[in-house]
Amino acid sequence: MDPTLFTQLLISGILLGGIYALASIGLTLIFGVMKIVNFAHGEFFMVAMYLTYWVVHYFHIDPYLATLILVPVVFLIGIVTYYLFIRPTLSSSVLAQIFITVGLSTIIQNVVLLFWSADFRSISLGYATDSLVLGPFPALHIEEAMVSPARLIAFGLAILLSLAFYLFLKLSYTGKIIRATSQDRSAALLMGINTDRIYRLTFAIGIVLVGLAGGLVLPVYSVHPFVGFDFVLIMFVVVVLGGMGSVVGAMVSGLIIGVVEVFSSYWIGQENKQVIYFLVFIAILVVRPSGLFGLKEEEELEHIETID
Amino acid sequence: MKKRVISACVMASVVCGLLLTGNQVYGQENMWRVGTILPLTGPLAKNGIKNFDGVKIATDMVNDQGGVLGKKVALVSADAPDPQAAASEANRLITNEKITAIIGTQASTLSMAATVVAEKAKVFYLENEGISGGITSRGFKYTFRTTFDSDMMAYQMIDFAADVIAPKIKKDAGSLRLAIVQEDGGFGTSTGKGLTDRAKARNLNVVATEVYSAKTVDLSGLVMKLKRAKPDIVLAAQYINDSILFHRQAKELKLNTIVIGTTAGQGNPDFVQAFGKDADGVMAGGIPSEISVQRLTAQQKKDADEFVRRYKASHNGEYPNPTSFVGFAGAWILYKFILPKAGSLDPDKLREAALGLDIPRGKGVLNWGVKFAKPGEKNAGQNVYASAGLNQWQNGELKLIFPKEVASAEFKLPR
Amino acid sequence: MKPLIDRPGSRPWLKVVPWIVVLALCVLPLIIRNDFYLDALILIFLWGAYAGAWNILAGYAGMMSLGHSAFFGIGAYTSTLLLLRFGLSPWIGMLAGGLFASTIGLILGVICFRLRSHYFALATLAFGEVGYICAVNFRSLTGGSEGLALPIRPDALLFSFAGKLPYVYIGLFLFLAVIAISYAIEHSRLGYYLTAFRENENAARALGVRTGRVRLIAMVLSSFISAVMGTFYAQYVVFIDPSSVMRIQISVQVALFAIVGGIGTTLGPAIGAMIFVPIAMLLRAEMGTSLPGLHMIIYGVILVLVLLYMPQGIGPKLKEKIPFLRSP
Repeated sequence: MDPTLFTQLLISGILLGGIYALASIGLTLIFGVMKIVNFAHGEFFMVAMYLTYWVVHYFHIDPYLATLILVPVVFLIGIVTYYLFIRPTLSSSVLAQIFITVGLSTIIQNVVLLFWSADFRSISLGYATDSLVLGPFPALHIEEAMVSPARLIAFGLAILLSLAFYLFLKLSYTGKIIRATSQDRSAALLMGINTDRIYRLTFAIGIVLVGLAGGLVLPVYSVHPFVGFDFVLIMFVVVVLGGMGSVVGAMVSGLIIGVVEVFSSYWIGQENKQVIYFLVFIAILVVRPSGLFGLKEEEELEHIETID
Repeated sequence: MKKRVISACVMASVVCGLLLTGNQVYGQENMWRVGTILPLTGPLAKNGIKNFDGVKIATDMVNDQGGVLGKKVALVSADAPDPQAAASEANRLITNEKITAIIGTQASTLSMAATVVAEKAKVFYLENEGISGGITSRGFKYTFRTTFDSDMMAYQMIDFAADVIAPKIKKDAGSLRLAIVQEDGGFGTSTGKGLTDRAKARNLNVVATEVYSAKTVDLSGLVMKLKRAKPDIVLAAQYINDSILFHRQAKELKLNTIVIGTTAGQGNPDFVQAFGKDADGVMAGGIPSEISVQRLTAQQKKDADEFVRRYKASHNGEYPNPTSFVGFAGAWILYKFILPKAGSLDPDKLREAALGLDIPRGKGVLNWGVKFAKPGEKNAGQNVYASAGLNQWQNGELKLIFPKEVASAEFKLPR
Repeated sequence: MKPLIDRPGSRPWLKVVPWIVVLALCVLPLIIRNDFYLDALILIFLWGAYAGAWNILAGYAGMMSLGHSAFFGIGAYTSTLLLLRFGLSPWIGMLAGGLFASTIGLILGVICFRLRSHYFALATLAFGEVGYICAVNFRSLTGGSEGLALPIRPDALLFSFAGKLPYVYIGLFLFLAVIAISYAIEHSRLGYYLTAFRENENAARALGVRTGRVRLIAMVLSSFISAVMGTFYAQYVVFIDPSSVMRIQISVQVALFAIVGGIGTTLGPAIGAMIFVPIAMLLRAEMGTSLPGLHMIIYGVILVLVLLYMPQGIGPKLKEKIPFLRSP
């Protein structure tokens, strides 16, 4: 493969992967701590895109600034959703939980359709529309490599935010409590941790993280009521590959999936690329359900046994 | 207990709400009751709603002009987000609402399911936007299509590329490098087939054919492949969301080429909203973007202006979406040509009236004429005087540039 | 004072009740004679039977599949392609589709039965998506997203009828057959094994239940019936495309009907379909065009409320509330 093409595909894949990573961290967090598979996750991504769009549209401020300003709003949406839909089902079956989030997703999509119509809305970054052209690098036989500023900014901020969140989980007291609750709810409860509060906080943070991702990609993607669904399946793939509940896993596998997607779409065709990542997904689930970075022992005890 | 009371209250209020807000229209006894089936929710909602807007404006206009044969028209509408719902709703309109003439369906797959129900019940069905060849190739007796089909549109896109663009870029048709990009839904598949067939028939050089899912969030692999294939012209059968993504990534990766899209994608106002000045030069085949006036009578011209005025009034000054144009055109053909001649909504009379029409090009609506292919002919029920047009974004406006006789602007070679 | 324990057999007349219901269902279509309501009945039977099939795997074996649209689609495409290509009657195509689907189901089971709860659900979700993409991309075979239109010449041998009544009775037959199969499973050794596995796998294995094999049997049955329902759908709507028989929403919807009705019960999926199919149709008909999306919002709210207040499903709740349903 010629180096120019290889480099370009790699750059595109990594930039794409950064967005996947940030969007998936929220999902993996909610799963890891609360053991809830949130099928409405993509809808929060969509809602955040809309909110950012409207702020930019009415107040003419920078979309990245708007994304940050909206964090408290999205946090609040997370809290409200938690009380209305998630908390009452914590003791229900896995099925009831999954389908509550399915119902929630239907409601959100159609509320948005009702109020904001099905129009496709997009913004463009006035100051950064043209791609940066790097190269040539004769030593590496690379003629040129193009980097889109909007994608680069989204990628940079996504990685920064992911790292910041990772450090928060590792170092802060609250982060430790969240991790403790994730590892063993009963033990955490016995240690005097208010798990209800932690659940509420975790859910809201998860929504904020996906909301940030939504805001950051607004200069790259247009928003419509059903855009969340386009992203959510990929988020699941990323989360499973990284190991459900593993933040580092989601970051690394987001990048991997981004790169794999771009390369496979070049080599085996755009229409078949999804088959590849869904098959990878099934294979990983079967061979190593704990993913690349999951807690292997615990998961295996709980979820795997061989067929006779 | 408290919980149960709450849920009972909510349920009760839902039922009450249902009864109150039902969309029954009373006092329709002395009106022409026409059904519509369009996707108003779900992923197809965008174009479905815009199409419905066109149908509604046509209905309002005709009613304000005194109705048809002195009776006003009432729409009985239905929402069809997927093919099964389309069939079900067709059933409901026919059985419960006693509808005998239906306008629909925006998307081909919905149309395929809904027309079967209508055909079985012998109900007149006017397809106003679904362009798949399959709709008229089944030999149905009661299904008529007012708009062009995918082949008519695809042929014109190819012909325009070979006959008009090629000389401008100083190439002969034989050395022209074409690339076809199609989304894998019903629209992209049937249009892509038409493009490929026509290119083959004209011995044109297609250097790449790329298929992708409109739900994808990344097209960089596809763009890089096109870049390697070095096409002069990309023919793209896309929807709006993926056309925006495609052009964004083409720009990011500096794929410089002429693009002929369709009115389902590149011709949509949302496209220019996304790109502003950068949209200039991009072309969109399909629905003529303007009711160009050269060949119209004074009354027709007035109607056309009235449509645009009303649309703008209800859409914050936005120029009509191409989809609204065909929605309008379909309803207008029914109200102005078929219904007056039939004098009744009896499906057989409507059918006979439709088959008897022969209105020359330019004298119908949207510069189209009205003449439906007879039973036994190829594509029975197809309006053979409908024609696709080619539009181009010029200074933020979608101008009709082809065919020549109706064009309102000259083709400009994109930079 | 209610007796603390219902003594079985204390009310022999209850045994007659199911038969009365069946008889009523048989006579009902003859009384209705309105195509719209017949259409609703057909869809109720279709979804009820399909949800019942899903329930055999998810309810009894506890393996929640979110990829059942693939089996439905395989059934629809197999019989349709056999009809269009070789003129083979869909009655035979139905069985062929069922066999094909159960073979695929068997393979899926062997691969994925290692997984539990969420993990199995996500793996099957991906499997369903692979099915959808295949249907879209094998254009030369399936016609891609343009779909396949079936001929509409009425011919009983070709599973094609002019009126709705034959479809109603075929649907009713399938619907009752699935309920009967579920009942049989529940009261058979297989059912006990499955339940034992679902409730406590290790205990079941310790007692000698071959948990892998019994689940595979459930999978084969479930996918076979799902495919049969796919053929029924194709013959009734006479147009299929990947988005109407293969897409993920179908898997979600079928699971939904079973869950709101009562998962793991004989009648639950049927009850779910009987309540939710008409609700969806009524909402769409009544308010489908007043404000776009409104009917879907209300549908979603009803769904969430049911799941919040009756997480076990409507069926079990009814049983709990209405005493005489409890004993037989």
